[in-house]
Amino acid sequence: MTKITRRQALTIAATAGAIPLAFNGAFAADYPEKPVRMIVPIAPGGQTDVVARLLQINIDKRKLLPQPIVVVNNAAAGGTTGTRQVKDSEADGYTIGVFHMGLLTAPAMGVVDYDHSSFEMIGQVGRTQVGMGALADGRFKSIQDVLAEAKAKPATITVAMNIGLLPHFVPLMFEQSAGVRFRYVQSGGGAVRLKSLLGRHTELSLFSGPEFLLFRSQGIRPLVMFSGTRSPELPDVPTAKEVGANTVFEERVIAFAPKGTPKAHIDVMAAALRQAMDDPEIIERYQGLGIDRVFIDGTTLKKLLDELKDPITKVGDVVRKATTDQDKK
Amino acid sequence: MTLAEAFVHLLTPNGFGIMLVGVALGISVGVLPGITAGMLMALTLPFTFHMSSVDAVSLLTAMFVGGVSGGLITATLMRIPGEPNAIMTCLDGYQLARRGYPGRALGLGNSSSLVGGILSWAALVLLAPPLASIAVSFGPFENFAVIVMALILISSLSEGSFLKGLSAGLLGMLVSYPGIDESSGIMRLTFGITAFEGGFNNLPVILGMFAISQVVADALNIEGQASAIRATMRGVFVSVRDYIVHGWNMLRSSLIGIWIGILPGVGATVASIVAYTTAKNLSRKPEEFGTGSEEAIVAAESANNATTGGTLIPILTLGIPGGLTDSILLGALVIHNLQPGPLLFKNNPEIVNTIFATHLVAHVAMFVLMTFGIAVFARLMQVPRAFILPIVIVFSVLGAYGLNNRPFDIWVMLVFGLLGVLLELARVPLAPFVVGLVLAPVAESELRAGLMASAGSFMPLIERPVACSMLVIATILFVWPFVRVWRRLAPASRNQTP
Repeated sequence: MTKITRRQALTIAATAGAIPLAFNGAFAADYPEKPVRMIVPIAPGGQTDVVARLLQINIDKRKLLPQPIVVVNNAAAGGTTGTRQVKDSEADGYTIGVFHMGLLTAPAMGVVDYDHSSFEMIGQVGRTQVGMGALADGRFKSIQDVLAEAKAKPATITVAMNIGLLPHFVPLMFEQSAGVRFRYVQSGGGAVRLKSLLGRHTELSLFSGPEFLLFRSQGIRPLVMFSGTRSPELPDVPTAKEVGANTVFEERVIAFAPKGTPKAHIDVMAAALRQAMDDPEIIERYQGLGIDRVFIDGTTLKKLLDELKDPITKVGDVVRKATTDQDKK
Repeated sequence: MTLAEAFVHLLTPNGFGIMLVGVALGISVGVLPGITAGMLMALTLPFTFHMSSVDAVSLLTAMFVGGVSGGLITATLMRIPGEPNAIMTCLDGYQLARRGYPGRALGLGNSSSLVGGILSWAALVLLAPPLASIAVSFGPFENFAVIVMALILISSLSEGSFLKGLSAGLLGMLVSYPGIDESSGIMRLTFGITAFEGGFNNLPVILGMFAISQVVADALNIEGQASAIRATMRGVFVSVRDYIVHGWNMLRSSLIGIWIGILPGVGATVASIVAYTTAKNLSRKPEEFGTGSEEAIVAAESANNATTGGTLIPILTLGIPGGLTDSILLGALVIHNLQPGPLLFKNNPEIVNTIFATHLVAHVAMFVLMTFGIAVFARLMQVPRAFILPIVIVFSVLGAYGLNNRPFDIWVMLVFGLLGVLLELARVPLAPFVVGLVLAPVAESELRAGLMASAGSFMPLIERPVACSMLVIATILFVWPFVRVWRRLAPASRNQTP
């Protein structure tokens, strides 16, 4: 008896909720009928988390979806537990994930046995440029200085990295295409690598465009950027292409769903995210964070990631081989 | 906004209210085992989107301060750490309470928390830039040497058997290994079980070892416990004489707390353990430690509160977070379009001054709230344990799950609860276990980072003066307990053999 009453109550509530929206004409389909769980596989406060939460709050505030989105952080095991949680969730559109390029680097490191193709791509909801920098009053004034020194004395210039993630992979790709070798030192997130450079414990590191703007006052000079063309915020910094290395790479914030999630649901979610990204408030926030507000739809994004898969896997093989060689010693 | 204006803002109804709510909520989650200040702050973060940036940082800072402090109440009254950093307070605070002085135990802990907080505030406001630049000059080898120094303290932590203490420490280290290897990025010791990939998190392990095991022990002994303690609330107010008697201990433990707070990835739990063992080693009555020593409570509680100021130094001066709580604070700054780092002092002095002012005022508010709260909470001693234990379990499960939203952590907590019961039965001390658990990963990653930079050479450990001198001190710390025992025994044996 109670059960029926509760169900009736729920139906009434759901209908009541749906009516104004139906009049609104924004939603033809009946998805979503209940709150959507958005799994963010990093700790609260990081850039990817901030982007996810900004979009979630905007979608809820402007009622771009008839149901709220609930952000759940699962930062265990460098994000792999979180992505696995998305992968193993039911493909009903009520679980989605927001993560970064770790989606590709984790399989390349061999820590997970699935990559971006094990998910449905909803779209790219943000992008940041990345580059390498050094202390402004250090011995390297330009990327040419670095390359000359690296050629003269291979594997002596130290690079602060975060193992298995972009600050590790991108310099590796760069050294392969530039034909040099660096010495990698495990450090950590952006601020920790900054500290390593400031204390002169290491000499180079990968940072994002916004990090460069942030760290400039602390004496960090960007030497090379890995974007296709020079960054408008850092017009004096050459791209890798300009110094003869064909490394083009960007950090992306990626929204994705479990494999087999209905296309209609993916489209609803993508539309909501895209609408949120066009809100003046979000435009201002992205600018403040230094994130490029470039939306890429799921199909295009998948093609893009497919192309990156090969070079990343190659770098991953090199890393893994180095680790096993060390173990044998 | 100058510092004075920031203080004035905290006295306006709005500013004061937000700060007070933060402290009260922080103390509440501090009292509840399992729910940590970090979780409270993570849950609060989304709400701060809609607040002004000044109110947001004030609220979060107040929560941070309250959370570090509340744990002592549960630790003293129930021998269950309300926050992981209160595990050392469990040892002596509870014993003193059992002997009939819960008011005295809580009063001492509360006053020490206040002193630790105020001293760390002074360090934060007056010495942040120089302390931060020292921290930056510490590279992997220096950090490794400092951690080794703390690890060595395991040897003096073991009441009774040295071997038992050492094995507990090694067991703690072992537990920290499974999961992703931070230095090579590959999985290790997971035995092919995907749940192991996230490793055994400190929180569920510590909750299991200290909270769940205590619940089991209490449940087995439920009749015996109820009448054991007759609480008298005398002693909640600590006299000036106490501050003089314990002054040096408070100062020393606070300095330890401040410095450990600055170090990345170590935190308040280790600070209280290090301060406790240092106090024990320097005490005239080391044999009283573990039986309700006042010195022990003072050391542990000064140190863990002193980490609050230390932790804020690298965030404010460099934008470098040391742990979960500070990354949330950092996240709040970023969300409000504020750039953490040295420019924050120039571009947004109102934020820096708000954090400074809140840190101090929140400590005073914490002290007042706790003083009144103690009288209320102490009544819990008279409530039959049968009513309280299930609540403890519920909150522990919530806390373990809430950490990363994964059920596996609940199982980790329960299994380590069982292990805790077994170790207690075998009279193996648990504090060295925690030291091993928390410090082994930091020591390992620092040493391996150093070796990567030196291309495998250990020489910097000897060549770099700071690293070398730390290791020398560590060696002395290691040998000292043996020397002391030898010196005590030597005259005795001389007397016996004429």
